[in-house]
Amino acid sequence: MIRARFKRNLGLGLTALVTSLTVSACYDGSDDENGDCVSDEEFFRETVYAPILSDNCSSCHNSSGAAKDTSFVLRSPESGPDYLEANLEAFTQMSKLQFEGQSWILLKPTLGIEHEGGERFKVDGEEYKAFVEMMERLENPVACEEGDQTEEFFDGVELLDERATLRKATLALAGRLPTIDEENRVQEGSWEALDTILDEVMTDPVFYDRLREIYNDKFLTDRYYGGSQALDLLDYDEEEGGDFPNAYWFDALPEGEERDQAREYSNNGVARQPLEMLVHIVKNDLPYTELLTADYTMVNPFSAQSLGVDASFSNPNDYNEYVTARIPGMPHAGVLTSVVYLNRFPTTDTNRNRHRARMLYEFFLATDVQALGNRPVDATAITGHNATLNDPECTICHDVIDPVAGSFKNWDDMGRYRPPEQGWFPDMLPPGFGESQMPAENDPAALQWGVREVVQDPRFALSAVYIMFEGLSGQKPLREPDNPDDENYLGGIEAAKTQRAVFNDIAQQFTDTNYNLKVVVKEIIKSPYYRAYNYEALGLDDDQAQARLYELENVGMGRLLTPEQLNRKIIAVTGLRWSQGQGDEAVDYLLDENRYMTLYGGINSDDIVQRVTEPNGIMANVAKRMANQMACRAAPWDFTKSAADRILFPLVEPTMQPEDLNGFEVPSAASAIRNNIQYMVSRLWGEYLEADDPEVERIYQLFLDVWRDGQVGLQLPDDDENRYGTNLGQCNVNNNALTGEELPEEQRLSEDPTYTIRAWMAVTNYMLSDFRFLHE
Amino acid sequence: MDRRDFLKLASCAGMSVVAPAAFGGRDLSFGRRGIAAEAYEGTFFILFNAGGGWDPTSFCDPKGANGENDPDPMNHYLKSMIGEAGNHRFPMEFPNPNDPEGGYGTGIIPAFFEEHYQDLLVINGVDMQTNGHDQGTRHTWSGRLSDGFPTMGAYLAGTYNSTLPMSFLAFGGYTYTAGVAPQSRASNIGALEELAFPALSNSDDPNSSYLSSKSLELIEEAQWHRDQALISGQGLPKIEHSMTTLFESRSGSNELKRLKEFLPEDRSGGVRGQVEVALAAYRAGISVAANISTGGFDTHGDHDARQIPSLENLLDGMSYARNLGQELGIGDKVVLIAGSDFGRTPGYNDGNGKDHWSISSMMMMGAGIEGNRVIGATDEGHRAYGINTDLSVDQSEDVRLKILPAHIHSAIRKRYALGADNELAAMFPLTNEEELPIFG
Repeated sequence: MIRARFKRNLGLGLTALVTSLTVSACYDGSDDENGDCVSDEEFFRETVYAPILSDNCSSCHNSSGAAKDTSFVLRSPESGPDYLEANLEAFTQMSKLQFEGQSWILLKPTLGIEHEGGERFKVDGEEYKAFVEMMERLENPVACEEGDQTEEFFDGVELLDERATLRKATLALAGRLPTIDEENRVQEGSWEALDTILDEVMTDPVFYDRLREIYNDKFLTDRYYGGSQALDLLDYDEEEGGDFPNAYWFDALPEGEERDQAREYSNNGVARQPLEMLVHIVKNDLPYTELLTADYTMVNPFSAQSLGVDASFSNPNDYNEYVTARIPGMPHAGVLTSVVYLNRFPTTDTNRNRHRARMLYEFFLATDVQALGNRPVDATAITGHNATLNDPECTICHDVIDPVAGSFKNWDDMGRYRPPEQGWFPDMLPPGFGESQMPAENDPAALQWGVREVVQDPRFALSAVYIMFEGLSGQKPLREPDNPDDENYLGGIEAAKTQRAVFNDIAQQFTDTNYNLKVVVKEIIKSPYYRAYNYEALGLDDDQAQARLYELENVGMGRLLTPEQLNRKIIAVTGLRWSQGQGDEAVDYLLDENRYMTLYGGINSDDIVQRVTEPNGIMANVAKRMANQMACRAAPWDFTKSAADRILFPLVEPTMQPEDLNGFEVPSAASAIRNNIQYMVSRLWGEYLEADDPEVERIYQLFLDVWRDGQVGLQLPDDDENRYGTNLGQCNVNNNALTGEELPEEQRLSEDPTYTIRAWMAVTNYMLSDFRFLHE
Repeated sequence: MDRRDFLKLASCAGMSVVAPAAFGGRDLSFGRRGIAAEAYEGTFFILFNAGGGWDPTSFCDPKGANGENDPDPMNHYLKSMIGEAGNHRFPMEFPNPNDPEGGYGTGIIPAFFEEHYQDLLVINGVDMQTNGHDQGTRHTWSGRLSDGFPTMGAYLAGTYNSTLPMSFLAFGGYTYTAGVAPQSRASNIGALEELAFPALSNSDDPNSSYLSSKSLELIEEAQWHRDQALISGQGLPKIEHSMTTLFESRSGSNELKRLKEFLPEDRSGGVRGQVEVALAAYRAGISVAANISTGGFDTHGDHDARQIPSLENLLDGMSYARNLGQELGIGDKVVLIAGSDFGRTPGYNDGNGKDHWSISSMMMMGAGIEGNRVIGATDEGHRAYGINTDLSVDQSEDVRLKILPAHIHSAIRKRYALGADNELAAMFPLTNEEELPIFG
């Protein structure tokens, strides 16, 4: 790997600011103790907002708090990415208001004039001095010469080069290793070439499987995949006015396999409506906004019949062919109006679509509405009428949620389009979004109106970045810490600010390219967040180094592969599936809920919906078992092929023994073995090591030790229970490892008289259970 | 933050931090020092999460209706239907106002109190400070309203031995670990048995190893050196943590085979089944804490018909855990703690349901817990009274102190998790200024 370094930086300002606020009360200029320039924005964020306004003032001075009607209303990080700028403006305006020559911003919290919130701090206290310093800065603004903030943040962080990024990306997106041609192109053409290659990679069907996985982790609609669970959600009762009387059209078919298949394909077509819409949009480079605004749904030849829609297919028997279709009488709003989505996020008479609104905020507006209630509320103080409409303890969330909930008004608890006969609830805020109230004429298609508003919001583009980042990195986007007492509070603020800047930039590119999701994928892959793999602190004292680690706490790869990803990687590097059985009847251990899928941290989209992202002892044993079984299966199988066709051992033969009978190294064999180890390290771990690298030597030693042990075991007398046989036993190759078919006698492999195959099995086992293989 | 980083920082800051031997595993030994070889025999914690927000007034903090014609009843049962066992009060029955002949429940709720009142500690009037599900669950189980703190099970597992294969076993509930102990699942017990012997093709046949035992030893030896090389060269905390977690999980994974010995052949379903696996994991010495999860409590509509069966399911599971533990001779080692997202509103909404209410309760029984006690109280409208530091109820208007989850966590940490001597306590400091002597 090539190390890329950004120029030296570091949040030295952070450390110094903490010191200046907590130890010294001396503010004597725009530089900190280290002489580093501190900008007004930085000063406000780290010395005024974080420790004082956020902690001491915002519990009342927020849009729903006790001081919501004053002229000093602060925003929380959850309210949007520009909250700091808005808060600085509020501070500025308040500082300009004066009483007898003194600023309100100083008088109010010190009770120099009446303040319903009482005394918040003392005159000449540290907070007071920070306010004074901020006011002085407003009079005499300080701008620092700043380099690229992102580059500075990642100073000292080692990033993957283009070639290593390519490998990581092809494995992540297409479940395969890069081709030699791709590696050559990226080495010659650098990052521009990577862009082109990624565009090609994103035409691979596996990429669309990955997309489905990433979005199903959010939508969880695969809960209805299989059986007839999705069909059962359709209202088929024609006499009762059901929308889909043809839901079970296949019941007319004769009992048997054809009918069973038709049921399965119909069901899965309905279950996959949302995910296939995503695939359709991305595959055809359509704007991602259609995920919400599409006036159509997706059907395959079988689900089209269940839904009673007209659609034409190039192959009416292909259950994997999805096309767009409109359901008559239904105002579609992208994925939101599919029956599986509406049932996965249901409502009740009293919930009134608030759950659906909350999920819309989470998936498409990058906003955790519930986090607005992170501050302590006293719900038992609620005594007035209709609290969700009138009481600040409730309206902090409900003012945001309820108008959007109202836009779902025409969709009932079963996911049917049923405009309420009595209109929407008069004791709730009317349907709308943000400051906009829905015009009455949009009533029959309220949700269509709502989503048009949503996709205009800058957070919509950001939400796609959030989802793809989480899918590709396994990490949730950083949220600014909300507890100033946390030791890593300032580091967390800096980290979140930097990440937000990077993500906003990606979101802007996304918007500028007409919401092409592939742009988001490419930009995330090229970002330092995806490529960071190590860090070295240079020239920092202990305090500085620790402060730096706080900032970098969430930076870096190190993601444990999901079961689906590991499954694909095993196939990519060994050429074989890790499965029970082979051929059509094979069951992949990592994809089957009855085997290891959920034990290895996967989800079933039903009652297990959170992935386990850190290995435990059970998962460690899954990995061990995989390494044992795959070494047993892949190593002997590879040796049944000619060297040119092998994918693990192209540079050695089983006859190559590292030492002769007298224990002297056989140089040619030892060299070939080392070369093959180098090759395996690059193939399995993506590392390109020199022949004399300590790791190559360690693996060679493992090979040698196992082989030597084998020689001893093979020489023991026949009646010695510790004697090793020459037969590979359960690792014999009698069948085609891909198809399960019996091999002709001459292609079989059962003997290992030199013990080299077992030594290579040990090496394969070691490498398959390594951190570099199991993690991204 | 990584523990090693923390210790480094603490050292720089002149803080005194005790790192008991049980915390090993961050010293690059990864099981070499027998960290996980010792079966865990300390206190076992079974944590019951009532997902969705339970209604304390339907069991441990009963209110009842003021009469059959009460226009705004707290509950549909009458005050006269509240029973007592020792110091505990609970509804005896749950009538259906629309069906005089009908009712809800099968008697499990009163039977639970009558059977266990002498062991049971109830804490009423716990102020969750939120009506949000995520926030409430997090507050109950991490002791902090905002995020970032580990769930109680992970905290306890991290305290005693995070390297055990099921150190923190979770069937659901709030499972954020903050990296102090990995979360394990036991969703497929059958597969666990073969996973206990990963090097054997047949877990019942010790001669079915894929490689010789010597080869496996050599692989492990090489792996250990490799792990050390990787981690010592890593400078990003997140990746270092990922490596450490993998290496630690490997070091304890051999102990999984002990589980097979203790799993009952015929396992129950539902909450009882979760309890059986949890107790088997503890008896195998491979688990410190287990999250038991049960749902059905978010009863915005048709409250009684849905809340009462959910409560019965939960209390039946708790009762089963208590009795099975005693039957197995480990009753004096097992602690049961139950909590939920929050409580439910006083009275019923238009859909005969109850919405979210920020006052809740918690229940405990088992090792080291003095039963037959109720701490804290609420008024007739299920508003929390205050509490004094001697645990007496403060009914004054100017309440100074209310019971928060932080007080309960603080007491649990002090009683069961080494208190301030635990390095995790310094990493995840609770914000309560007062201590409540919940355990005396």
